[in-house]
Amino acid sequence: MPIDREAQFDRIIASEGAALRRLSLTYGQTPADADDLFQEICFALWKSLPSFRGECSERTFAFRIGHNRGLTFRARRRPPLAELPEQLRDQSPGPESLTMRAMNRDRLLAAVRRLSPGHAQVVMLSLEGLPHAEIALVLGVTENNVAVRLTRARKQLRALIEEET
Amino acid sequence: MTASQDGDWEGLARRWREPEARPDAAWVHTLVDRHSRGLRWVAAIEILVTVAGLTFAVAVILSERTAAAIGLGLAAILHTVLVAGFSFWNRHGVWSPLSQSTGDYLRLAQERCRRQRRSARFLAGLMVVEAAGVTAWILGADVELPSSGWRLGLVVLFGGVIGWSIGQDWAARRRLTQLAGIEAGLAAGH
Repeated sequence: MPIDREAQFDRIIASEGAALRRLSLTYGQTPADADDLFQEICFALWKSLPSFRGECSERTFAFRIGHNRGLTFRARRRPPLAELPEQLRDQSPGPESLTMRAMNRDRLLAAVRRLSPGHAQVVMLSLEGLPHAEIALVLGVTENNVAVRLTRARKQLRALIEEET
Repeated sequence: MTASQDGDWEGLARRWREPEARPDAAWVHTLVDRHSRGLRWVAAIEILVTVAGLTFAVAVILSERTAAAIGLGLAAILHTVLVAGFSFWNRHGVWSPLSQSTGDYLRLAQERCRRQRRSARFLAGLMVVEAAGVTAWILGADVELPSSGWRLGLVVLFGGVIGWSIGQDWAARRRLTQLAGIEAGLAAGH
């Protein structure tokens, strides 16, 4: 039923729209790219809704589509990563935990962008508050794999932040 | 993972979920939408003025039937057709953005500024050429203007349009600089 589909789409966007927008900002290297990607994700979500059978939660379904579209988008655009470190530079010294807490959102976003796609995915989903089991469902890997990737990704993220301070 | 590291991660997660602040992007959207409405109004007025101008010129030619009236009428028709043709061509592709993305809105806003500059330069150039033509005609044909007010009127007309065009060009150039700054800010993720 078209009305159900529309209601379902509105519900998913209302609850997961902000997270999908952050996902778009991570895969797209600029806000303008993120806008384009967000539109693509919304369109893909709309097209895929009839095939949603409820085997997983709507959030898992939306994130799975978002990450698939994001990977395709990134492969297509291939942005100049060399430009990004300049955006991360912060002259203020301080211990690691202080640095982590002092980071603003944009710089955190830039640091996540510098991770490899596999690590960026688990970090994004973990920062969105998804448990390991749900991350595994979104990415189609095992929970153990998620745990291993996340441990490594956190280390990398920490190293990236330290490198820039 | 230690408790301290968990705390750090929670802190990062909170920052990650902070709302996105993009006042510039919202401004660009507002600017483009407002300009789109303005474009439609101006186009509608231009069509009316063009039709009225052509009708008037043809009416003058048919009623007066003197060499001067025919010359002026044909010049008015040529002027109207030139301006209307240029205006139509210059607006091609700038009616609406390709998508709702900020990138496309920004590109459209910049393109509209470039078109505005082109239009201002065209109009100023046309006025210079026409002013030169009218001056040469008045002097060469030893035309007697009905009163000295006509001379002043022509100077005000041509000078006013040229001055207005220069102002439009300056405003568009200033807006382009402003948009370039926003584009750079958005590209840097701010």
